[in-house]
Amino acid sequence: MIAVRADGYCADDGACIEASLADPGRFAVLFDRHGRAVASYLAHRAPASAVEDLVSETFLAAFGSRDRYAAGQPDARPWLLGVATNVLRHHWRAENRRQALVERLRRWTPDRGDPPAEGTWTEVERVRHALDRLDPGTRDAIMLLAVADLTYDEIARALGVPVGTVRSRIFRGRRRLREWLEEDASWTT
Amino acid sequence: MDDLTTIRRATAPESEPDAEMLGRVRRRLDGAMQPGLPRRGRRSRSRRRCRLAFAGAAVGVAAAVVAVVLVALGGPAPAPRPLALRLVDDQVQLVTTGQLSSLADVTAMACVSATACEAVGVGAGAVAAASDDGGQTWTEQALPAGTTSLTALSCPVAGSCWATGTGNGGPVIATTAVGQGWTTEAVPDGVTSLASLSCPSATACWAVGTAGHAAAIVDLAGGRWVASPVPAGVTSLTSIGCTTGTSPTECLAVGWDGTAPVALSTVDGANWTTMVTPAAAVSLAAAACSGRGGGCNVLAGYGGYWGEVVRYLRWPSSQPWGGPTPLPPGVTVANGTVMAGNGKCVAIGGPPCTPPDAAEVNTVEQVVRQLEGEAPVPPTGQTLTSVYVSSSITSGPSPVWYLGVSGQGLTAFRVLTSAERMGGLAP
Repeated sequence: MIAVRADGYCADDGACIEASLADPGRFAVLFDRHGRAVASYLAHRAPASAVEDLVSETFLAAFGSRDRYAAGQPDARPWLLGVATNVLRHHWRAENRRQALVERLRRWTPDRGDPPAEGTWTEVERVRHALDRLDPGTRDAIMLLAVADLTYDEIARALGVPVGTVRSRIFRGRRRLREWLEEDASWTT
Repeated sequence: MDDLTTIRRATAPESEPDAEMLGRVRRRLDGAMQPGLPRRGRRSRSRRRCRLAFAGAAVGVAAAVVAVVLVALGGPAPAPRPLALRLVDDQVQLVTTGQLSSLADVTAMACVSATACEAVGVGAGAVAAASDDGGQTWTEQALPAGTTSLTALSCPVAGSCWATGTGNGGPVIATTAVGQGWTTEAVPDGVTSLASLSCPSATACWAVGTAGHAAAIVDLAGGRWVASPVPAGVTSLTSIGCTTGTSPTECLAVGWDGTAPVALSTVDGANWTTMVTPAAAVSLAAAACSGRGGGCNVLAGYGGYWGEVVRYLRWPSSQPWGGPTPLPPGVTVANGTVMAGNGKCVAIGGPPCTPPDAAEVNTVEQVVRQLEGEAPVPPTGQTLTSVYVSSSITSGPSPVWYLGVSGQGLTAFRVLTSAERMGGLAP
């Protein structure tokens, strides 16, 4: 079977990635096919001002590690979303360090307003807060299911964990979210 | 409204990414994908920030070291050529070698002695080059027509090598023997890709990859390549290592079964059995073995492609896994291992902002030292403008090699041997 035609067309993502090892420009088709999906996923998980850089980082990281793409996988979207998830983690780690610094500085600037009290949160804020309380692995699985519409098998590929782990994370995560949101709802009643 | 819809609505961006933004990213990506473009030309803003972080941490020491290097060079401006770095005697030292000029990406190297090395890579097409002077100079070698990439290499004895890659729309196995050019050998029907190979002797060699949606193992049996039966359910194999100088030879291959990492082993080269994998590993990135009881290591990952990395030791294959042995703090990327003849294991990787295009050769040294379990040293030397570790490298006796890119193009690096450290470098 010839996976890559002479005119450069590659039928599936795996063939494109393999071809890009010899001809790096072939990798661009991955962006054309999945760039919007990756950008949309990142837009749900990061501030709008950071999305463009994160999309770039994701595809540059994927491009740099394309020699490790699992051969025989025709759909690279789960892989790309897994790379995006890791890029997000690094982004948030850096952001948390920056926020910690800001917080330390804030102690010396008492005129700055405090964040709103929990009891006055909107529903959106409550949901986001509940998502923040999840452990990172569970949050990633939930977001890949809710926002990126991946199947459990695809989430397992994206995160590099067994599918059983994905099932238990999502089951546990959804149960916790429901519990927390029900608790939070009582604040405003 | 179900909870997933609630999550989607609560996390919805104010506006979806638009075509203009995607176009900007596409152009940035296009710039990064040009063959042979030095890394420094493809940095994104985030990577530049990473670079600045490195540079900031390095600034105090770097100034002093640059002064030392400049004095050593005898002029105020470093010459734009690879340079040997001679630093403090008791520290790990790197020496840059001759350029492999036409390589856009060096993918594998094998050295059977301190002087005889072979390297393969991907440029405009596949490239192979040999050095007989410890990397001071490289001579390109002709490859069979239609070979488009060579990504794995194993040389059991000087001048005798096998390499795998792609060509003519399918997988390729190329070989060279002493005094002979590269030729291709027939790949068994049905094999669609070959990712890794290990040749413990001039007559014993195994390669792994895929056959459609299943894994493939091919065995150089009786002078021709034949497919070996693979345990059911294994969908891909990405790395293989075989012991040398042992009887029997043992091989260990790692891959994936669609939902979990798998490890296979053989003691007769023909019958492969599934091993119990390290319990916590979610991926097995690479396998490498040494001879004479040195064991086989697998590099295992957690949490996806950039997860925490550890290595496990198993020897012989009937024994339980030893480890995990954590890699030094800060190393979260690893894409290969190498076992030197003395059983020493070195993984290639680095901190999350690799390729470490930050502090140039300094970062490579830092990464090398971290991977060897030594304390990171302050960045030193500013004589090369950009360096990254592209892959891991060699089997056989020391020295250990690292691959990277300098301001001029791709360069191979190696750690000096003890004798070289004592006696200094050849001019």
